[in-house]
Amino acid sequence: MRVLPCLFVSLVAIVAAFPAAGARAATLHVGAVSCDITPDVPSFLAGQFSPRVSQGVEYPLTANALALESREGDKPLDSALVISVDTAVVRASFLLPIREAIQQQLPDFDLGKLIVAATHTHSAPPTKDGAYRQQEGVQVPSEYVKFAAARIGAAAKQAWDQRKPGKFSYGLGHAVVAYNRRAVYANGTAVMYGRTNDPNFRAIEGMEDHDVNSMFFWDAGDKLLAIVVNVSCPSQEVESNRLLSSDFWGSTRELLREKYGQEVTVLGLCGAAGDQSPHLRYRQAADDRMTKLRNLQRLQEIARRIVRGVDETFEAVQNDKQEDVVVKHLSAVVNLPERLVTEAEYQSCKAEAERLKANPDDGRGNWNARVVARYERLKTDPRPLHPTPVNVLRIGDTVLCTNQFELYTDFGVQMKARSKAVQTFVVQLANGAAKPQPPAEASAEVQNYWLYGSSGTYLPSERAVQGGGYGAVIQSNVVGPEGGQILVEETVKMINSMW
Amino acid sequence: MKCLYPVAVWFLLVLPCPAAQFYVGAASCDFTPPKPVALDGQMGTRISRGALTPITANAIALESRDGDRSLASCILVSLDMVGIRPELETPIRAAVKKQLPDFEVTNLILSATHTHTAPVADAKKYYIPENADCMRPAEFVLWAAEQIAPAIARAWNGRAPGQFSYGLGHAVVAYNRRSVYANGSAAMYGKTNRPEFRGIEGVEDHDVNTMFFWDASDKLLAMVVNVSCPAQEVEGLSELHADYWHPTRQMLHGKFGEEVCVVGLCGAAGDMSPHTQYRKAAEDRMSALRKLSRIEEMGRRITWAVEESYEPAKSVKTTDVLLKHEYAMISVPQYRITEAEYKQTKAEAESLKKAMEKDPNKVRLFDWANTVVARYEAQQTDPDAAFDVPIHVLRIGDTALATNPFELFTSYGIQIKARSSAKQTFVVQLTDGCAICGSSSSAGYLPTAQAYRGGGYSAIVKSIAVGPEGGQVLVEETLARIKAMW
Repeated sequence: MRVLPCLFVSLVAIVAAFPAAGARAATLHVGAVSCDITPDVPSFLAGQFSPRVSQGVEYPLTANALALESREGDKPLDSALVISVDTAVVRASFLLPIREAIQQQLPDFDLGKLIVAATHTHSAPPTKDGAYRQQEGVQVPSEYVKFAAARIGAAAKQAWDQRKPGKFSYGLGHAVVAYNRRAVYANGTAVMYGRTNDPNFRAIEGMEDHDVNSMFFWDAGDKLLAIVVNVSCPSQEVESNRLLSSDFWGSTRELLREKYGQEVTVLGLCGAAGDQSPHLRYRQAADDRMTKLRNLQRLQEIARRIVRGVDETFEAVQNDKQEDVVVKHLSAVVNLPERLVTEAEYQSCKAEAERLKANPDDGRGNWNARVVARYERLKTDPRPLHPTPVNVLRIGDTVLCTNQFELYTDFGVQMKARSKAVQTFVVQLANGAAKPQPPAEASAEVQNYWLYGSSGTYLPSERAVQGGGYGAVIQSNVVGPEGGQILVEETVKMINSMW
Repeated sequence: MKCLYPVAVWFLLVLPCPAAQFYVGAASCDFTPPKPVALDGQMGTRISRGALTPITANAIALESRDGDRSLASCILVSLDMVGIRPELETPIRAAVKKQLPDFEVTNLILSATHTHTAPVADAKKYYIPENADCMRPAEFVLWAAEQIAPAIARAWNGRAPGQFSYGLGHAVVAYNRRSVYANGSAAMYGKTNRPEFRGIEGVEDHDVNTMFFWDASDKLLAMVVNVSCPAQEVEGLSELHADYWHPTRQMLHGKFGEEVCVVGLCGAAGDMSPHTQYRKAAEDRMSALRKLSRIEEMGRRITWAVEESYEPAKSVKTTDVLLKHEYAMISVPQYRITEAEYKQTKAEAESLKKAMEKDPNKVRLFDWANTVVARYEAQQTDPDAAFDVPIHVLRIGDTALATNPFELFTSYGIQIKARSSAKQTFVVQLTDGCAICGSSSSAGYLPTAQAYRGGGYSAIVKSIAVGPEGGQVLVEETLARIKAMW
């Protein structure tokens, strides 16, 4: 049985809490490295219910690692390793091999300091076997995982080993790239990607967050080493294509490197964006016209906007670099109440799962079957809890806080609004596993649910649950609004304990 | 119920114009009052202590002609005012009529930027002490009309064959100002750092819609800049101020030429404000690092959005521009006041009436409440009463511009954009006078059903004359007219 030893300590227990008060100014050490994790064989593409097999590469898939350490003289004070990965979600079947690979490469590194976050591209290989019925000539997901984990482990070691005294600054720009994808209708229902030109369309369900939060890291000679770019938008503009692609992060990194140097490591981190998408939701003709007039494709247009958000920030903050930077990291496993399956939901999912049995390639069968199993487990465990990892990383006056979900933007806005940091970076789809792996003898259904829960399921707001629709129905959620609020409270508490 | 156009319910000017020639004229004027005035936009009286920026009017005249025959025309004017009150609109139209006797004044579109630091037009709105040494509202509106009408005439008389293009950029300047709490209630400018805070009520619209007008020699004459954000960042000042439009115009003039006329139009933004609603420390730090004030920062963002639109748009400017204009008075159901709302507001009005004896400054609050009382009493004899609401729909090439007199919640604007037949749709609020609400700024807020359920200023009975039902009528009526133009 494999477990995540560093993550499971206790309920809501802080794993690595350094003294909260009296944060010492210290020398910042920085290392950053990118690596390519694009498979060189045909692969399934994860992100849709139906299987797609890659027919080539649009933008390479990469992992981008940033190693941070604060030191007082030779004495390490605290550290973190942040890795952004071009993948849909960081489920246990991917995270565990990554952790093992890093542990092999860096035996002394505390894996509790590791943050692995997905950009949520829908054009990367799946990371668990059985996601789609295996086809001849198509890479088996676990083979891809081995390949990618080994490369990520090597990159992590390189970033860590290369760390050296550096400088830091940060800032806030804006880019309109995420659109709230939930349309609300006259009868109160909501639909993800629902038509907005329908006469019954009344509103977009909620907020969008157009902040482009950036961190910049230089070496002691003012050479730019790395940029963290935090955008509350999943990387899924070309989600239906049959090409391996890092989606808009591919075009964004390309443009950023043209501007800032080919060796700069760019960590794209996705903010709270469970209800967001880069797909245009209305006035598409006007937006498309502009893209065409600029002779750009949509991915390049998104990149143009994000890069502008980074540029406007860089111009303002490049002369505000700091060397004495507090680095503090906290992690905890927070137990969130699972969203309970109602009798009506059970009956409906059961019927749907039965109906879809005839078509094993349709992922909606499993999607519904999981709910049926959850409901049945309620007989023995009526108030199930979902343990989830939360990381909080203070860097100077900023904080970066992570969660494993596709977190609705309202929750991210709450965190930002209540944080004591000058600037707060919310990062979703990070470190997606906290529940111990079931024993080998456990049923396939239990294993399946564990893997599902370890990934980034949607965490909807209350208003979204009321409106329903994909992303806010029981099949889409392990945790509901009640758990979302607890996640906010615990995260805010951890952040504010650092100031 | 007042109505600017008492007879006509409909007045149409929808004319197809094949092979027409497109004419453009533009002019601006400064109508900053020469003496102190009472400022509009807050609940209490403020007498201006000077002017920090000019208060301006900016006009674009458009006409399509077939030889000597006018096919369609309009003049679009943006005014640095909180709203277009009939007290100001009537003298402006009369003065324009004098200057341009052949121009059909219903083709004149007057729109307010919603600055909260411009003169008040309504003489009854605020208590202005007898001995205050200031220009009175009644004097101001006549004086202002005499400044604005000549500029409108200059724009019209100066029209000449021109070219047009348009574009879409983005600027994050408006923030939804309604916070929602755990108990379902909402509050305008409600604190977002409270544990009970759950979310921002609705979506924001960060489009910067632009139109560009050149003369026949490619000289840029004017631009329309449509931003869904009211100009009220410095709303608490006691000086005259055009708010963020001033630095925006300055920056645009710096980039595009001092003579370019910039027509700032406010999109659907009843629930929006330029005030930062959360992560203020991060925003303020960036402004400080850039050595910019908040309104300069807004100007920087809008100017960038205009620039990013201008570059692609100028490559496709055209003289072949279809122009259509329709002005209509549409019938919109008034919000039906409940008995509970009436009773509560009546008690407030009575209390305020007493308070006014000691503090005449309370007149604004009293009127705000008392209007509800009067409307409820009228509602008893006419429960299905509707208001006549002026709207304009303008087609310019592949774009549509649709106006309304409300502080229209953004979701309605998005509905119009999402369902419009035009390639790009400019929604413009606070346009043309409509004193149906007793509100001093416009026809009042027009909230969504969601906002009405949440309550709070801007979605309560005192803030509204028309509710969600009427909002949907406005959307449908507007869309039908846009559709008819395609």
